[in-house]
Amino acid sequence: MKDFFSKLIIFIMLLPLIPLMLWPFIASWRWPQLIPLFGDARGFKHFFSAGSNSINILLFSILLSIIVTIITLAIALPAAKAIAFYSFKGKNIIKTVILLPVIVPMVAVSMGIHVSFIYLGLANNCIGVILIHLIPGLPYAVRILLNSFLLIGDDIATQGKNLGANSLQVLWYITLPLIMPGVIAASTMVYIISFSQYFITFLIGGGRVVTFSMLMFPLIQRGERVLASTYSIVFLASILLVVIVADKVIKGFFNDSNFLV
Amino acid sequence: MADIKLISAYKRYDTESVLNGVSIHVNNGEYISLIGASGCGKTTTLKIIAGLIKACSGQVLFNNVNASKLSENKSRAVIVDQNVLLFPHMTVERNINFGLRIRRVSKEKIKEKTEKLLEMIQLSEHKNKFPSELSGGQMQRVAIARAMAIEPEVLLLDEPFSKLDVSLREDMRKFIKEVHENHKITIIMVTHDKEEAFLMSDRVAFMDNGKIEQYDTPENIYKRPNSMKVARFFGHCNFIEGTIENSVFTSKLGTYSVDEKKEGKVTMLIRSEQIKIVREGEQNATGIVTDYRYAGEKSYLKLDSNGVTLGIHTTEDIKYRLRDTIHIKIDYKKGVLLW
Ligand SMILES: Nc1ncnc2c1ncn2[C@@H]1O[C@H](COP(=O)(O)OP(=O)(O)O)[C@@H](O)[C@H]1O
Ligand SMILES: [Mg+2]
Repeated sequence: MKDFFSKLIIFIMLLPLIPLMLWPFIASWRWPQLIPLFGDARGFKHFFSAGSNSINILLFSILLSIIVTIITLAIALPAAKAIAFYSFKGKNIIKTVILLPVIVPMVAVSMGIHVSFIYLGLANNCIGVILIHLIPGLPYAVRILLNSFLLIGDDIATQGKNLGANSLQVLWYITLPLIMPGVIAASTMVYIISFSQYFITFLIGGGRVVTFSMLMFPLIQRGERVLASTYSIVFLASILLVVIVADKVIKGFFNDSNFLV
Repeated sequence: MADIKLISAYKRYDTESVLNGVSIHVNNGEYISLIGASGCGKTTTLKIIAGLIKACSGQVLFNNVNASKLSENKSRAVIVDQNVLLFPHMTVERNINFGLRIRRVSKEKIKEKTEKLLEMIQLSEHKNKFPSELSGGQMQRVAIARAMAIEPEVLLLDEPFSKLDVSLREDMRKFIKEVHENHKITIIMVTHDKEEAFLMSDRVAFMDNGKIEQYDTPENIYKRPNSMKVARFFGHCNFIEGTIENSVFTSKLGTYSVDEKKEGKVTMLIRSEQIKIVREGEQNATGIVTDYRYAGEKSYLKLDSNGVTLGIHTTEDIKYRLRDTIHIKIDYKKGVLLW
């Protein structure tokens, strides 16, 4: 019964994807046609055509979001660990500040940041875009990793130290492998958030940094169903691919049997 | 192997002072127990000896050398935590040789040592299992092997039996005793079970409120406790208040000549088993039964003897009724004077 319901829920969630899957292949579907007229998948032709530059933008976007994910995790890991295990002054304030971007609208935040970025010369370039992309994902990453750290506790790392491991060895051989599920969940989340950003990329990048979601936006706005759904499928497929590959790579990397002798 | 000294360790967390000057000296190859109620600071003491937490003040000496001067990485004292703490993502084998692998010991050496340790804990066939696939006793043994792998000078065992079924404890005790004897290693064990402490160790340190109240052989701790607190912890006691004058102890129960020069008010400790129920004529006191409880192999009685409440136990299968008068013989010779 439970199994049936979970299948039902998955089905309902996937339902809207069906027309999305169909649209790229439809030539015309006007009233009173009951069955659409299938065509030559011109969406994909457009996507792969040399002039569109879509593939390059896609690859650039993937790279950008991967960089954002790596930097976010590099910040979130020590932050989450500190919040989980150390007591220090202002811990609660830091916890709140880190969560703030979830509560305060990103638009409001970015407007302010944009002004500062112009002064700092970070507007209209990739570095600025990467920096602004760190903000929406960070709260989620810290939250997820904080829970992972609390789950494994501090004692097991201390035990490793007691057996003679230095801090780096403890991190590498014990802590990271143990919080790996959290790391994967956090990176997936951060990657998707970054990859889906439209407004802040446009604002800070000034239209000069073009990501894949910026490419999609006008297509959707103009009601170009065939092109919009083609690009949406590519969008989804690319995320799926990156997430699966990342999962495999990270898991394979932190498999204990790879380590030491 | 090492001789360890902990010298007046103090430790406080925020507002709570946990250790109030703990000093303890463990000889080379000795097996000692730290015993006391939960929360009295036993684990904290072990962690300070292991160098895992810093005392606010005090020193740890290994063979009379200050531990802080020794390289921390040497792990001279390894803790087997009360929660076992095996690495869940490593197999039994890789848990055991973790300490060797991070030290970059040669492959052959690691293999040889791991196999020996697996044999010692009799888990050779289980070496490729993960901790979650083991029983409590097996996990405990893996944790001990993992600690032994790096040949520490001191093994610190934090309540090694508390997570085990009673039936497994006997085996585990034997195993740890064997490890102690075969490897001639110094062991400090934390427990809150007095029988376990007595059975296992050369000396027992009784801790209360962040202080060591008495540190002595099991026999001395039991027979010559230095305070009511210690006496109470290790067995059923009767405290008889009285005075000594001219080497005669006088209490409501009568008089008794003692070999004691000091004079004045004193409390005499008489253990429950040092009061025997005797036939009329052999007694040195009588009592009225005020409480009687049957507990299988023995029965507990409370007596009122001339206004003094005495708790005794008997293994004889006689049913007593309340308000019965019984004759008892108090073995004053074994009494302990607590000034
Ligand atoms: N990290 C810590 N922070 C604050 N208090 C602690 C910490 N560790 C232990 N304590 C306190 O110190 C006291 C002694 O703890 P512990 O040494 O673990 O006792 P035991 O092992 O004898 O049960 C306890 O009251 C405990 O609450
Ligand atoms: Mg404890």
